[in-house]
Amino acid sequence: MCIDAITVKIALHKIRKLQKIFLKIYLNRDYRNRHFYYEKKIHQQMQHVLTAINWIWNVQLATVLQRLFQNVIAQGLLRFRIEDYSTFEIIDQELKAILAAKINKLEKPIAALESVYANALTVAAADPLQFYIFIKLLKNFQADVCKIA
Amino acid sequence: MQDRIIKNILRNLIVLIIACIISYFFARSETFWLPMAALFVMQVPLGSAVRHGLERFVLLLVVVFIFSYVVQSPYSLYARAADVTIGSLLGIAGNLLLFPVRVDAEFRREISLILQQYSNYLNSIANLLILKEVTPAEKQRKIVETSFRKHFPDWVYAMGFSITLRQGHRHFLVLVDKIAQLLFAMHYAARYPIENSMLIEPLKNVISPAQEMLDDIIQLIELKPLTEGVEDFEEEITILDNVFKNVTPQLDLIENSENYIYFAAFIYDLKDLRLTMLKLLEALSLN
Repeated sequence: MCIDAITVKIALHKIRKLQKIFLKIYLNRDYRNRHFYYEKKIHQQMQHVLTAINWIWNVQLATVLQRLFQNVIAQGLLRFRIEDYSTFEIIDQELKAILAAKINKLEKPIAALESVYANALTVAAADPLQFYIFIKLLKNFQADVCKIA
Repeated sequence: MQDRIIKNILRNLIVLIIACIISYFFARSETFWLPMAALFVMQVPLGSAVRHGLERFVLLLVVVFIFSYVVQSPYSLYARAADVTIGSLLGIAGNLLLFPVRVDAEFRREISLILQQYSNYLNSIANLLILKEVTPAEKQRKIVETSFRKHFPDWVYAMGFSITLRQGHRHFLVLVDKIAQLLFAMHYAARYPIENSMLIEPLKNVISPAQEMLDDIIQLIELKPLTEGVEDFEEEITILDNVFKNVTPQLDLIENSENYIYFAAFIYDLKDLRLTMLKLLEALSLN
């Protein structure tokens, strides 16, 4: 049980680190110029996450972490789809809050992001649905993290 | 893969034997420095034998310096450095000359294997979404993940990888990496199956040519000629998108149904998958 707790904590930490790489891409808005640097970093972090999950023996916990990993990967796909990165300026503060928050305390910053989505992004974004999917994924991420906790 | 491992073991063994013989007759310091240096500089990623070999050689010189001044007497410093230099040169030469691995061929072999697994994974994800078959998708996911951790040719990302091959191979690998990410995201979305039967047929019409396109890419990577041209499935995706929009005409309605949101995400993933595969084909045609 103790070993499971440690391995889960390590895997969660690595998943969160992967998520932070994606959030930094959205915040720094330099993905087009540093595309290879980020992709290499993402690839290495993905390998770390998969190795960490592989160490978890409890099947149920491993399944939830697996889902979390896939969820984070889906969050990261926004980097290919948003043509105009200046759209991220609208949610700059909210993304920073999500980045800075502890993994089990994401509820408030996600709610703030949802509020900005409803008030500004639905009008300003070229394809608001992509951002809605992103928020939905963040909410699921938070719910799954709570389940593990 | 096994072939490469056997070659590597044989190469290490031969260099070790030669290093031991040279060390026995010509070593000026302790006999272990020369064989140890030879073996140490040989443990480098594929395609970057010289750069990583030299880096390891410098590291060994630092170790020799510390060892000579801290553990042993500094009198034999130059003798140890000379042995390490000979050993390192032997190791680097061994890596370059004995059973040389053709980096390009190795890359093609590993990528073709990985793309084959992706093709099977895509099929199982579609079955999860349409037929709700959970187990095959989980099984394929495990295979793809294991391959991603262990057999992914990320030695292409290593510093000092062949200058002539670097740009093209890295570009290619980033695209293959992107396909893996798209498949993981599609698997996530497919966990929320959609009940609307109107979407099933158009979805099948997209998955099948997508798999065919992947198979075509594999054939091109294996340097086999294509019997027919590559078929694009842009039209099929547009049809699927239109049917989806007809089923859920307004954004408000999509937001009310969780499964529809994930299906929308799945369509985005399919569109990205198509674009990524087209880029792969473009990169292959440039080669």
